[in-house]
Amino acid sequence: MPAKRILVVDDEADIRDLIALKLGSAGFDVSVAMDGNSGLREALAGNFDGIVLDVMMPGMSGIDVLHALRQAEISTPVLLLTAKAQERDIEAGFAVGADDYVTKPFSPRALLARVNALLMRN
Amino acid sequence: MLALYSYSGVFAVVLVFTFASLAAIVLVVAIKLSRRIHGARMLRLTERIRPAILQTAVSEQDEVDDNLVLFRSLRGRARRSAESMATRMLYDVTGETRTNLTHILIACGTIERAVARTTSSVPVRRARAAEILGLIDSPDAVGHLIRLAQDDSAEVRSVATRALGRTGRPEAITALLAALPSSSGVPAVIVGSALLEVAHHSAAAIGAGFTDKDPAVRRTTAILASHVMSPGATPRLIHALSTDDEPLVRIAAARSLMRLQPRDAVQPLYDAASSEHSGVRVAATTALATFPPAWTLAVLKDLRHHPDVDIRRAASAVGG
Repeated sequence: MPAKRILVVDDEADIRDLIALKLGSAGFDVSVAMDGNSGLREALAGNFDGIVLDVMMPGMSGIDVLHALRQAEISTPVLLLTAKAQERDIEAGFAVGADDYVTKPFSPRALLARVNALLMRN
Repeated sequence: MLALYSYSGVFAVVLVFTFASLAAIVLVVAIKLSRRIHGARMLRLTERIRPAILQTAVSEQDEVDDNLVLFRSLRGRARRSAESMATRMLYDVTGETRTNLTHILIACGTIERAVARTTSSVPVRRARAAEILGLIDSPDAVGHLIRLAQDDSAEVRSVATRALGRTGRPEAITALLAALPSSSGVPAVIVGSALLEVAHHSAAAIGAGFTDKDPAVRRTTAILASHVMSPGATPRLIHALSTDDEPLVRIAAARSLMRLQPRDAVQPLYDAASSEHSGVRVAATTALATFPPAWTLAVLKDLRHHPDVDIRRAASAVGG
C-alpha cells in the first residue's frame, strides 16, 4: 500500500521540519510549504490525504488557505495548528471546514496520533 | 604667491577627501565581507547541527542518549547555535519533544549556566535565566524560579512569574498566588495567564482569592474563576457580584458570569443592573443580554426602560 501523503504548511521552519520529520518517521510521505500561498498551490496541485495547516502565517493565513481549498471543492482533511489563546481562530477554522485542530505548544506525538485518527475517519 | 597657497590648500583638501572616501569604501567592503563570511559560517553550522536537533527532538526516549554525544562536544558558536535553536523550539512544543530538547540543553551546559546566572548581579542575566528555566522540562527549575519570582527587580519577577506558569507544575501555584497582590509589582495579566497555565492544579487555590483583602487579588480571582473553577465558580461569582465593595471586582464577576451563563445568575445580574456604579450596571446588563432569551425576556424588557441610556442600549443589544 502506498504511503499516505501529507502536506505540512507552516512559516516557522523549525516547527515545519519537526512535524515533517515526526510524520515521516511514522511512514507518511510528507511535503512541506513555507507559507500560505505556496501551501495553497501545493494543496491544489497535489493529491494529499491530509493537510497540517498553521493558522498564523504572514500574508495568506491558514484560515484563508482552508477557505480557498473548500471553495475549490477540495475536501482533503485539514488539521489546524493554532496558538493556545486564539479561540476565535478555532471557531473560524471550523466555520470554513477544518476537521480538527491542535494548539501550540503541542506534542508532536499527539499531533501524529491526531493525524492518524483524522485519516482513519476519512 | 597667494594663488600658490590657495592651490596647495585645495589640493590638500582633495587629497584628504580622496583618502577618506577610499578608507570608507574599504571599511564598508570589509564589513560586508566579514558579515558574508560570518553568515556562511553560521549557515554551515546550522546545516550541521539543525538535522541533529530535529532528529533528537522527535527521538524515542531510548535513542536520545546516543544523539546527545554530538551536543556534549559542541563549543563556541556551534554550541550557541544549538542552544538558540533548541530554546526557540521549546516555546512551541510539549511532551516528549520538550523533554528531548531539555536533554539537548543539558548536554550543551545551558541549564547549568542558567542556574548559575540566577544569582548574577545583572538583572538582564537573571531574567534570561528565568526565561530558559521556564521552558525546560525539569522539576528542579521550579525552585530557582520561585526564588526569582521574589527578585529585587520587577522585570525579573515578571519574567520568573510567567516562566513559573509555563512549567505547568503544581509547586508553582503558591508563588503565583503570592504575586497576585498589586504590591508584587507584577502585572495582573502576567500572573493571571501564569495561573491559567497551571489551571488544572490551581482551581481550589484560586478560589481562596475571593476573600482576600486586596481588591486586585479579588478582581483577578473573579476573572480567572470562570476559566478554571467552572462550574464551582458560579456561587462565589454571584456572591462577589452582589456584595463586593469594589466596583472593579463586581464588574469582573459580571463578565465571568457572562462567560459561564448559569441560570442562577439572572436575578443577581438584574439586581446589579440597578447598582449605584454605572460600570457595574452596564457590565451586568451586557451579561444579561447574552443569556438565552427565554431566561431574560422579562428582565431585559424592564431594563429597556431604564433611565440610564447606557443600560437601555446594552439591554437592547440582545436584539430580542
